[in-house]
Amino acid sequence: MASIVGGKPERRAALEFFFQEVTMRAFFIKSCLVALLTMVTPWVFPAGTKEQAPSKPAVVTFHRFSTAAHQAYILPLIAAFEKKHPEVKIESVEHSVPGYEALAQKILLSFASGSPADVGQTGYTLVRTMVESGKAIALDETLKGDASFDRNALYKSMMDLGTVDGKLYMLPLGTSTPIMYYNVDAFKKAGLDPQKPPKTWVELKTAARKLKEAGYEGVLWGWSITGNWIFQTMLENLGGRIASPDAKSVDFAGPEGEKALSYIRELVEEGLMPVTKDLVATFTSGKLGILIESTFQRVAIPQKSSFEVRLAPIPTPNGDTPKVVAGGNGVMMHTQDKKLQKETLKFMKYIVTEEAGFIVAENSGYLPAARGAVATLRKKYPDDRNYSIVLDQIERVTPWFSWPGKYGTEIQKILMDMQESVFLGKISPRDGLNQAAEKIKKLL
Amino acid sequence: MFFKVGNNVGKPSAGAGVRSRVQFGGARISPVVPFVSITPVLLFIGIFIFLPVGYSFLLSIQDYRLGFSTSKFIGLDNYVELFHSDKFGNALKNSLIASTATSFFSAGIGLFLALQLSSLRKGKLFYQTVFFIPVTATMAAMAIVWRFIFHTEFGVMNALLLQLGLGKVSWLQLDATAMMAVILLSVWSSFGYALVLFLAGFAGIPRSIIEAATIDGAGYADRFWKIILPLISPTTIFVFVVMTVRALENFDAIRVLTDGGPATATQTLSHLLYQEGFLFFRTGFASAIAIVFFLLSMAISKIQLIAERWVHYE
Repeated sequence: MASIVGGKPERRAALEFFFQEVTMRAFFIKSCLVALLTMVTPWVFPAGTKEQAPSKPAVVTFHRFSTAAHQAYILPLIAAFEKKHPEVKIESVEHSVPGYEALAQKILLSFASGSPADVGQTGYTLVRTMVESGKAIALDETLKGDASFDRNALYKSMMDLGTVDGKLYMLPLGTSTPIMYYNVDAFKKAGLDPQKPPKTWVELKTAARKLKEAGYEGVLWGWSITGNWIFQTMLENLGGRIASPDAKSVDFAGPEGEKALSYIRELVEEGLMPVTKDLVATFTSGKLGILIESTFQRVAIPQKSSFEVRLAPIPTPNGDTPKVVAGGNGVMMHTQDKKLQKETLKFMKYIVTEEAGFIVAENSGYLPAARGAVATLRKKYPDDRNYSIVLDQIERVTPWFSWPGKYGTEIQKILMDMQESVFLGKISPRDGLNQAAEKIKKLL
Repeated sequence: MFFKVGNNVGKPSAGAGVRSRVQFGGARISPVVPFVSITPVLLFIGIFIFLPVGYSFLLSIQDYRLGFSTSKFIGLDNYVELFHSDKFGNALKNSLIASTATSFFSAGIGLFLALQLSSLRKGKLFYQTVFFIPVTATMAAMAIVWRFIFHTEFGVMNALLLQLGLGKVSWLQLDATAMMAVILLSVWSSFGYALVLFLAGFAGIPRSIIEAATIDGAGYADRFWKIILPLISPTTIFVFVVMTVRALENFDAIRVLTDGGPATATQTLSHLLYQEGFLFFRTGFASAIAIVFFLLSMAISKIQLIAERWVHYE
């Protein structure tokens, strides 16, 4: 043994202790003692054991957007929640996808793959699809009698967006509305007064003509946003509607629809509006004077632009205060595990708190569902003219129409394709509307 | 032919201890050995090709939506709906236009450049590498670049037109030019592949034949039409099959460049499949498209392989 160990005497002695020969009996007795001590220690010192091994937090998987504009508000939101609720850990499953349909597809895929999302971010128009999938949990029963959840502190119009057939399935995370962005430099060069942006459709067309004369593209209505968002906004401001709430009556093909499409087609034909889906890029390039887009871009568009950007309410046919269709998204519960549902609900309820709403609103262009957060934002940014216009719109939101049935997303695509064909002059507004209405009625 | 069945195969055993044998090279082995040897490959193909195709067929006869709790057996209803829908006819037409144009232009440009490069004494490898780079590029990323090249307001194409004193063209907004843009991107990403295949084909032509023809007074055109082209015909067939299948499978470029638009002007079968399955969540219907698409690809490949009857093998 000494030959194996070698080295200084004290070191050698220490090593010999380990290498000494052990009889079977001694080995058995020592092993029993170690096993007994291992079993008895936690029983004798229970408190001490608890301190050494704290219970693990419940893990809630959250499927969500991960594009830069969304990371800006979701990451601080999750961090703030986990700080407040250390017993819950939010495990993000990030999806860098372009739209709500693509995100819904990822969430639906998670159900099919056997690793389902516990909670997912879903666009307002897809709430019904998620409910029809049979994988969305209604929240009414769980929230009933929950003292920590005050429904009255939230905007009813936003809560209605997550309600399907009278049951609440979604809590709103961020709501956006259509807004007008305009290039102040372009306005000045075109001889337009940046303090007086156009309020009516006629004024908008006149402004677009002047912008064109000054070498700019005129105006771009964001017609391509999810197919019917801007179209529905134009229709409602003309007094029309997309369809009846139960979708049994398809109404967009009426005179209001024709008037809305004819107006945009005239803009295109006069060369006052480019027909493109690259909305933000076209505006931030500096060549476009006016863009009708989502308030979600309130932070991103000025950051990407090398010119001064101002916001104004969208022009309406007669200059009335515009009705604005609510876009945006919320969170839906999918976990079937009763225990995990409790933890998931903590996160969902946190999202609609004043604190969370403030985080979301400050880091994006979304409007929060909590009235308190909006009041705080008004106090904090009293001189921010752009922001106050966005906040003013919150009281006027109308629900974004969600088509029922398995063809819901296909119908949105039919509407978008129809608009594109009309704007490009391939078909007249009347024929386009009639054909689309006929196709949609068949699918419904 | 490596395997040869022994003489006693199929005949009654001559007696105990005498077994059927197959010939492998110079040795005689048990007939079980070849089957055991190909089992791993068969398993691989079975699991990764036949099983997914079979599963797709099973999905195609159900009314199943992605991630939904329920599905219903509906027989061939998805196929009936597919063949009766305008979108299938439109997508099929666009697929055939795009794949035919892509395979012809890719093969043509590849052949032309291969002929030029084969006569180069220096720098052949350099040009070969340069032309092959687009083949290795990620199509989705390249399509973003091309989308900006074709952008009406700040695209390079329109900047060139303006320099020439011409007007702007809305490349991606007009049906014809959008399809042209899709084909151009597809050809750009494929011709390098055709070029390399043709260069390999040229390497197989014996120099003696070309030299003999030259001595006999054959000019460049005669040598190309009467000697080179017939001798590389197996390569040409292969190039057409590969280019057509690549073009049919082209999805990412279309998704990013035009997203099937304007409206559905550039929507191909692969894009329609994606749209139905992943945007409309109709997994059963999308699976029916996948099966039809699979059969179509097989049929096109088969037609081109039948053309091998006219191919000249040395």
